[in-house]
Amino acid sequence: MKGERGATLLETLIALAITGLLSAAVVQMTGFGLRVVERGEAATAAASAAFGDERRLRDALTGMEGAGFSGDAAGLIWRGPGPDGAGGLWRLDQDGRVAACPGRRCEAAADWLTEPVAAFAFAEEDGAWAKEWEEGPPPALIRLTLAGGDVIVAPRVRGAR
Amino acid sequence: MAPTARRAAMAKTPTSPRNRGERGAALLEAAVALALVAMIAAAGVSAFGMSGRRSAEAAERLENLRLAENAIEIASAPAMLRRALDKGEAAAEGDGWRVSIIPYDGDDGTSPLALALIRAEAGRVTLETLRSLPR
Repeated sequence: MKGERGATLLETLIALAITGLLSAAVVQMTGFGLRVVERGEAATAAASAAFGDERRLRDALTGMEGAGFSGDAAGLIWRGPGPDGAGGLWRLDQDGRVAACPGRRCEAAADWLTEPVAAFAFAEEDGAWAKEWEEGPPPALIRLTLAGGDVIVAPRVRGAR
Repeated sequence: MAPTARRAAMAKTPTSPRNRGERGAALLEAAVALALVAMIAAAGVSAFGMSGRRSAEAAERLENLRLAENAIEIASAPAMLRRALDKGEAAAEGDGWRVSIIPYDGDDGTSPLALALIRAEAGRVTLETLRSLPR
C-alpha cells in the first residue's frame, strides 16, 4: 500500500507539471495569436483609412473645373467639388487639411485626410513631373505622395470623361 | 486472513493482470489527452495563422487596387487616349502595374465622342473602364 500511495503522489506531481507546461504553452500561443490578429487589424484599419483618403481625393480632383487650379510643394488649390461635394475654391495643404478659399483668400482649414501629403507633383501631356503649377487650367495628371503610396489623378476637365 | 495468505496476496498484487490492464489504460488515456491537446493547439495556430494571412491579403489587394486605379488615371490622360485611338492601341507599365488602351469595339463612329477601353492590372486586381474623348 505504501508503494501505491507514493506512486499516486508522483503521478499527481507529474500531471501538475505537464498541466503547467501545457498551460504556459497555451498562454504563449494565445498571446502570440492575439498579437498577430491585432497587427492584422491595425494593418487593415490603416489600409482602409488610406483607401478612404484616396477615394476622397479622386472624387474631388477628378471633378474639378477647368480654371483656377494652382499647386506647389505646400499644397494645391482647385475649383470644383470640395469635402462635402459642394462646389467652390478649395485648398489642400501638406497636413491633409482643406480650406474653402472664396476669392482665393483661404479660411481656417479643417481635417480632411487621415495622413499628411509628403509631396505634390503635376504633369503636362508629355508626362514630365513638375513641383509647381501656375494658376490656370489643371495639369493632365496630379500626383500626391501619401504614406501608403502615390495617388495619381487625371482631372476629367482636360477632355477625357 | 492468515499472515502467509496476506503475504501471498500482497506479493501477487503488482503483477496481477488487472493492474497491468489499469496501467495500460492510464498510459492510453494520457496519450489520448496529449493528442487532443496537440490537436487543439494545431487548430489554434492554424486559426491565428489564417487570420494573419487574410489580413495581409486584404492589405495587398487594397494596395493593388490603388496601383490599378493610378494606372487607369494615367491612361485617362487625353494624350494617351488619343494615341490609342489613332494607333489602335497604347500601353504603359510601372512597378507592379500595367495598363493597355484599345478603341472600344462597340463604337460605331457616329457619336461625336470616341470611346476607348482601358484595362489595368496590378497583382490579382484587374480593372476595366471606358473613357470618351471628342473625335
